[in-house]
Amino acid sequence: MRPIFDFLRKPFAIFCLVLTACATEPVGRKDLLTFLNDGVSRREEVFLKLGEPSAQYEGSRILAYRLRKDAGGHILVGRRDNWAGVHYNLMLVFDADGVLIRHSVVEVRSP
Amino acid sequence: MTVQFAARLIIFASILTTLAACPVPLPRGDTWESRQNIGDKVPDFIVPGKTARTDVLLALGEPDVTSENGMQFTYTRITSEGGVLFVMAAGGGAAGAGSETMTYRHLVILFDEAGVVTSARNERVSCSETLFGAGNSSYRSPPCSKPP
Repeated sequence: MRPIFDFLRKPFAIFCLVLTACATEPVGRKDLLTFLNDGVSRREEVFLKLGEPSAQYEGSRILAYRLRKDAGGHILVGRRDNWAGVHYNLMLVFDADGVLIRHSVVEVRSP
Repeated sequence: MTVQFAARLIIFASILTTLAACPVPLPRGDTWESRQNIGDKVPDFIVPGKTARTDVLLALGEPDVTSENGMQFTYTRITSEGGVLFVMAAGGGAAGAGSETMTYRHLVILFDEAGVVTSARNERVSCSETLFGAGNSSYRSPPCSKPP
């Protein structure tokens, strides 16, 4: 039995190495958007937590962020010319005082 | 006579190339860089004279093209209807050429000064794009349909 085990040790090590090389840790965060509350959250807080939006409309009354999703949760994706690697668009609408009044997460591509 | 000979030679070479190459079918479906949340019709929630720009953004997300004054949004979905790529491999290198049928769906929405939809239309365009590649370089013809 022992010689057979020795014979298998090397392929098993290579197999483990290949598996490890392919493995990727989920980097998404489940709590990325939990701070958003209509009527409560402010634009400054959104900028601080999510950074520069990918697009702004009607001045900066409406902000858009692009998101990807993995097993861990949502990941912010920077502005680009197309939708590669993007699954969702987070749309945020603020009132004149900069308070969030409506928001939605639009599925742009299926994850 | 020389021109005729050259023309025949080109045709013959083209036929030979086609026969010698391996046809690789190109998959159907939305392209890797396209959005998917646009269909063949204008969404029911868009009603001219009633729907606001905010509602459009909350339901469909960022448009692909926004006019400078923000009064026109264009959402574009690009879908491949399939095609074929002829690949030739020789001497450690490879080259290929082919054609792909594409469908472009453009949803064009116009707004008035108050940010209310004045009109919305869906344009569906089917056309072909060519592909060519040799070694490490590749070429794809420009999009055969552009946002209106």
